[in-house]
Amino acid sequence: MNERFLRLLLMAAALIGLSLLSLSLGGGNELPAALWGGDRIASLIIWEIRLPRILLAISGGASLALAGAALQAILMNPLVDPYLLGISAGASLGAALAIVLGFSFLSGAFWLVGNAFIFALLVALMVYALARSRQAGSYTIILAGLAMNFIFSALVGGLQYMAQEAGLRDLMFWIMGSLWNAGYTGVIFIFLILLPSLIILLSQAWNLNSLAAGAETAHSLGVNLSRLHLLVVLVACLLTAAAVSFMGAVSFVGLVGPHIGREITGGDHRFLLPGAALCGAILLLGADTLARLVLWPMDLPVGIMTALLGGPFFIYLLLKGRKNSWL
Amino acid sequence: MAVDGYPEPAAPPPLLSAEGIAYRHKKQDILTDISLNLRPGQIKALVGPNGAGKTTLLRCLSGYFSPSQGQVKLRANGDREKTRLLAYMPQQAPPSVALSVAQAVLLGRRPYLGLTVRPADISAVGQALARLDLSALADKAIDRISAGEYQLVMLARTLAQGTACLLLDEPLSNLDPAHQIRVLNLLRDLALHENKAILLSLHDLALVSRFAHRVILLAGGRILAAGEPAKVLTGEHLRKAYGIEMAIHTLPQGGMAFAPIT
Repeated sequence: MNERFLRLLLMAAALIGLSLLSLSLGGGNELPAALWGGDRIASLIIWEIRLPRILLAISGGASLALAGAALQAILMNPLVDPYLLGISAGASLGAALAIVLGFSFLSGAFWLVGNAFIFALLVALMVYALARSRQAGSYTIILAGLAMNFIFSALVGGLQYMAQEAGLRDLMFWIMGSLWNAGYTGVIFIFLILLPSLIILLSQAWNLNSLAAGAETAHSLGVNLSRLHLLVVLVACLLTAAAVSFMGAVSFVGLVGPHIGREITGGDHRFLLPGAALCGAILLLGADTLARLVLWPMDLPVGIMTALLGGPFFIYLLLKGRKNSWL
Repeated sequence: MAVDGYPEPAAPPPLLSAEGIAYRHKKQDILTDISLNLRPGQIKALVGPNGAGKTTLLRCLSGYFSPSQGQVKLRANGDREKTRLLAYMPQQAPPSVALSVAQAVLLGRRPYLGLTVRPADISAVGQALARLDLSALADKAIDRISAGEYQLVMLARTLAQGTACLLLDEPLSNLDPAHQIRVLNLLRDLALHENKAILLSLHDLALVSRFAHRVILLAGGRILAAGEPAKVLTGEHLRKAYGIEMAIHTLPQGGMAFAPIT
């Protein structure tokens, strides 16, 4: 137990180190210039561009991986990804409507992000209602989420087809996911959802563990299954909607984050939940730092990087994988 | 008559009793008019052909299913008290999370756990592991041990719950003969010395005749016969339930041997 706690601390230390590294990497020597040189442009780059971007990567990556870990536990399926519930596709549709048709529920600074969040919440409500109705089983929820993904993706595809060139590029950036638009508002918003979610999910850690031996066993241990289902689906929906609205549908973090976390901390959710969140944060921050630097000064959408890095790594985990296990 | 070393019970009040349970699913009667009592100090075996309704009955008793008719009475108020009175080991489901053996057994302490694990919980886990000779496996991951070992781990989890009443659905299905005997001896000790009430489903009639104090023979969702093994496991009853002829011998060492001769 102490050892696993130590591992969490090491991961947190790695995340802080990576943040400092990412803060210092870029065009030139902005970090010392901003800290000690009093250079105004360097300060601007560090505090208004790089730092919020790093914080967005941390909060967004942690949210997606935390949602993934909780959903994998509750649906008892290792292939579950928060996007599987259709939330990201809903957010994409909201963004596409705003970008292509100029339609948004909101105006002003949040016309794009706000619309994505509202659409993500609408989908989340549909998933939630489905989970509530007739106590739908895991497979029903997964398959219904899959169907919603197809429906919303088709709508987004239609909008893409209609889009003008400029809009198309914005939309592509959004659908693949990118952090170039990061600001402190988004960071604060995501953290405000992330921190209570982490506490709520941690309070359910024993209940999630009880599911390890199947739903029947969990029930016999006094776990209220339908209540646990609803709580976790609701929290995961909120986490995903917030993250996706501000950074687009960044792929793979919600799926791979929990799996790497499981390799490091083991399956006990008291450690796995924070471990997965830390993994997601490290993964997304690392991928985004690379996305900024690989073709510098060109800024790749981070979604391309997470898929390019995450995909092979996932296959590596599968190959070296443990028989009969979750990977 | 004492069966295989059991003292004649003085019929203490039941911990769990079912009265006229029926379970209907999609307009089909799975269970009809089942009544039974689980008393402390007794091992009761549930036997019957595949699809007779054994698992459904255990699920109704454990509260996982609610019966369409009748009711299950427990000497407990509320969910928390219930989980401290009644432990249920369902048929084997593959592990979905890579917990260690000790963690998996610790799950049995969930009814008592807060966020932290108390020394009492640790010692309950250690005791349950020791009773099933699993101490050496404590740190292994539950998805890396054999199916038989995993079944013993699940049984240890059920014991660690520390309840007076145990419902076990085919707890021996993956065990070799030596482990089957060892587990049944342990269950007998628990019944006789710790006054547990145990209901288990089992296919091996010879083991039933040797270890069970009472037998319920289920067929087509109804109780075909119930009572002492020698009176329930007769050629006539078995023919009715399974549709085959059995040669039955009473063994001098106690218990009976069954051989299909159809």
